[in-house]
Amino acid sequence: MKRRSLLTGVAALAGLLGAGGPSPAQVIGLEANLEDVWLAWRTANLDATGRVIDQFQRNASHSEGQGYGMLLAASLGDQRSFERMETWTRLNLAIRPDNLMAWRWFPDDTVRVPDLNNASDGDLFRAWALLRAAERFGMPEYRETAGLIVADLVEHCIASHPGGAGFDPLLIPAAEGFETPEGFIYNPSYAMPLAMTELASAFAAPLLAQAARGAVELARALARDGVVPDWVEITAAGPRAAEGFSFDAGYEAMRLPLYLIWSGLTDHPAIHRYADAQKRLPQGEVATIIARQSGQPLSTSRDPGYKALSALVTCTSERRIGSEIPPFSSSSPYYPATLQLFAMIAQIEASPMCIPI
Amino acid sequence: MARQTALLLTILPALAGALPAPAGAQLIQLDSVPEVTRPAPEAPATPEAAPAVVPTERQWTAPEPAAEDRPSAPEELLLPLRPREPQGSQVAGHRMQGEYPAEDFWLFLPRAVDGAMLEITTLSSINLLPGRSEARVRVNGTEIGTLDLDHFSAAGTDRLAVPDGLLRAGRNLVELQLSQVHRVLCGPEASFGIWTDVISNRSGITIPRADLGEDALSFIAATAAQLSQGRNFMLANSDFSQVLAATPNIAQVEKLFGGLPPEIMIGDYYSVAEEAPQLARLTALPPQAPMPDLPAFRRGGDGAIVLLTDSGQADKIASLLTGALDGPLQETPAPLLAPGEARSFAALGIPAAEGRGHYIRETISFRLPWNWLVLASQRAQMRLDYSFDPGLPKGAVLLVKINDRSIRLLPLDDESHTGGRQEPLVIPFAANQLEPGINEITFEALIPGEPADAACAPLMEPAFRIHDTTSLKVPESPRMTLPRIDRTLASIDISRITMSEAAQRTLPVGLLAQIASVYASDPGAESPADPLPRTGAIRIGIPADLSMIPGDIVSRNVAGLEEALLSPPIPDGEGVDPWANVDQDSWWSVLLDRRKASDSLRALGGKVASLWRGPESDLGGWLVDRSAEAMLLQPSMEEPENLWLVVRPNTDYERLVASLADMQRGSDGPKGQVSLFGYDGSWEVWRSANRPVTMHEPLSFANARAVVGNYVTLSPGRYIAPLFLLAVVCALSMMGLLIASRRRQK
Repeated sequence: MKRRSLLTGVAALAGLLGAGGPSPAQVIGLEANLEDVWLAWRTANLDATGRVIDQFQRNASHSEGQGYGMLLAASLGDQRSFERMETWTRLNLAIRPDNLMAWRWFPDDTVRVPDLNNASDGDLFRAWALLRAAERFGMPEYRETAGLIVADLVEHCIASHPGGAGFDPLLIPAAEGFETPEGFIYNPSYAMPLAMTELASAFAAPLLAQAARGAVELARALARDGVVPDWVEITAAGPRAAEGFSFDAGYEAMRLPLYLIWSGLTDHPAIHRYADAQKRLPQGEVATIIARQSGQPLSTSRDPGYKALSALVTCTSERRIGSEIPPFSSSSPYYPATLQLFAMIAQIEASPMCIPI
Repeated sequence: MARQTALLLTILPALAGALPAPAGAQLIQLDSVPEVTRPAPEAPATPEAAPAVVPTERQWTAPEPAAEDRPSAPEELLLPLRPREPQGSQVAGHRMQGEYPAEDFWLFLPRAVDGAMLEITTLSSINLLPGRSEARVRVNGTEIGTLDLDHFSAAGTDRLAVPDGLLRAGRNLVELQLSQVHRVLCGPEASFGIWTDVISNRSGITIPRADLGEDALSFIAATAAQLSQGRNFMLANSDFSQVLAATPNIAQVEKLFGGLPPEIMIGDYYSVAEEAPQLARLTALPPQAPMPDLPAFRRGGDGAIVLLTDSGQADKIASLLTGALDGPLQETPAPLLAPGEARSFAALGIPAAEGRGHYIRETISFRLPWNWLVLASQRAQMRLDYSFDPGLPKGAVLLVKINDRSIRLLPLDDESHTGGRQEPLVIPFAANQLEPGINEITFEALIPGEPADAACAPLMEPAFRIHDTTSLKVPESPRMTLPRIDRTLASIDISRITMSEAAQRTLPVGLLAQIASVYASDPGAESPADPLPRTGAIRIGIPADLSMIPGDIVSRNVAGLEEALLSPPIPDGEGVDPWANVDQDSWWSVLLDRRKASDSLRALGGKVASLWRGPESDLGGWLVDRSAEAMLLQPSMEEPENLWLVVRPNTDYERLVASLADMQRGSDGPKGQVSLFGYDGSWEVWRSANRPVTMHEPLSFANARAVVGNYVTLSPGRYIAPLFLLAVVCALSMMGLLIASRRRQK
């Protein structure tokens, strides 16, 4: 019986290997539907050199932002923008000895990259974007680069659970600096299950797929006691608040329900937790920081980007038809604007009933 | 893909639990899957010189905008006035010109409002005399007050309290009657220098935004507010063809708003926000997302009231919104005048008319049956029963016009009269000035100022009155018809208004519903006594379609029609004739300008040809030097019910729609077989000489004279030639007889 299950599972995995990315029909739909929105995002957040600018963080650029932008360009068929972003990234952030990126770049500082450590979510999204771009634009060299990044992510950024072999490994935030005496600091929203499994399938990296499962299951465990927080410390005894890090669900954690929906895990308890917390607010406002224990909103916003995310999560959680995803606003800052585009893509790819009304 | 990912994640336990796994031909080699162990510590990837890692810096923070910077929806919303009659494409400033202008506006409210203040924002000409220039305001027939017109340098808002119980849910009628006095002049010319713009999008009732719920009346009120801001109404739909198919229903909905039919934009579900958030929109779910209990009202993420529907439910939407507004638009059709008998205005339902001021233009509309046709010299008759103010200054006159052609000039300063009610005056006029369909009688008075260089003294009495005992008698005609565009327009079936494929790619698709709305019937409104069968069709096209339009009228003149549509108008001064100073009397002067010579020859040819075909010119010659933004065509006499509206891309579509809407109420507008919509907003009409007359009754002794008269007037050549031939034959016969009799005598 065990052997038969294994064979079935492996055969299913083999069938998935050639099916990375959205279907051709979805690709056409994405481009047609989101052309205006993408142009507005590009105009607001991407400079001529291919740098994605985060205005609120001293006009800095992040490996995460470059990865996000490249994924959007690849998904929406904008090859020129993709090439510009990849070129800028290679020249300015991919300066480590390995294939990972330094996590932050300041335009106005003498030392533009003060910290060469990486951010695993930025590398993950860049690799995913390169994989999708390789297929979309017929550029095999992008796939090679993605493979190299995946290999280094697996080597440097996947840590085994301190609890032992009974637990899945996890994607740690960076190659270094997040170890603690009893385990390591972990960010649940750095792991994007769909990206990890697509890359794992494409490059035969089962450890990455296991880390994806580990992320999903850890989020499930965390959701039992409240909204999934921004950061936790993983110890042998289980997850707990990380000293010096936010244990509420804030700007980091808000990505988790989005990623889960995008990954097709639309019934995940973390989604319901987040939706329940959002429903406590009056119409027109969304919580950006939610207290983990009480679920009470600690900070709210009216930005359409955050509204879009909240609307998608709420609609998916309630299994409604039609969501309150608002029109994209060109004046939204980089982060909510990007989340809004992600929410729209996730809705089209994974939650089609939540069409914006 | 997402489902596949979920599946992958579900099978991972099987994979993890079985490592290492046996390899097979179709299986992934899992031997290489490493044990789940924590990677061994490695050499730091950061160069040695790199500063220490500070993990807590990674925490993402977003600076919260200052409270005052946070965009938030205003707590209150002005529900604006909507002009009942469109003025071109103006959506904001509605100009009221002259001494005593009056205009009606609609006000859509989601519920009955008590304790409301009606805001009226105006901007007046500096020529207005403050203190004596004012506006009387009525709401649903009740006067609520008077406001001074004294905002000269910038628009200003006045407020009037509306008595409780007056404003009702749905459609409300606000009437403005202005009294405007020139500061320093008096007389007809001065009348043109005094005006007030009612800024309708800044006039209306302000209500708490929370009063706009998720219901039909709130949706209509929010839509009207959005339209008044000069913004389009958005229809989010994935299926373009379904939107086109729903045009008749969309047109019905547009009709509800009165005035200029709003333009609908077809948009995607995923859009970029406009500067101001939408207040209302309609979203049609794709067929893949069926939902029970639709249509329903929901709130969009931007706060808009969303009417959510399934694709293909346009009829339900139309019923839902139409049913929410009780009562029609109160647009009564012009009364029908039965030919052959004298009918008083009172019998026709036309009230007595009064003229006040120094330039007065009072117009009365009536209709004649579509099968009434008098082209010959029969006479119609008006028995004018009128009175005038005996104190009018010398030079005061009253012009009586039929379809803008004067039939009588009446002095209003005749010293032999003492003013007051006059003996009824019989005014005969040519019946062929009248046309089937809508006709207009205009009473136009010019009253000099006394004195002309000072503000007019207050007038207590109207300058003239046209009593409702005035009657009209129009001769009977045999039931005959000629093909004409306006007749087809009166019989339009809005489901037969379509767009060519080229136009669908070029013109805004909302134009289709806008035009259909012009011809949509107002549900519940009084229908005409003699409705035409709804057989008319309009196909909207662009100049590129001209070469493909069947019918000899177009096919013979494609180049000329295209040139008219694509030529810019000739601005004043550019048409100056350089040969104007040359002696025009000399026969050789035509040789100096080849074009002029060609035009002269064409004109001569036209005059000769008109002897045969009647007064109408040929289309090619008529089109010379004309330009148009759009044209209505009746391409074929065999299929007079099929019209084409050819529109130049990037033109002012709303002005065109407003003009088409305006012709519903007046006699101006497209007629004949080719009508050009000019840059000045007027229509130029060409009628074919080959219009076939259709008789709808048998020829008899009783109608023979009128029938022959119509035929001869229309195509004189066809009757002159046989008569001429007959005369020649007779003359020759007589000459032959004469010669023969003389020979016999010899």
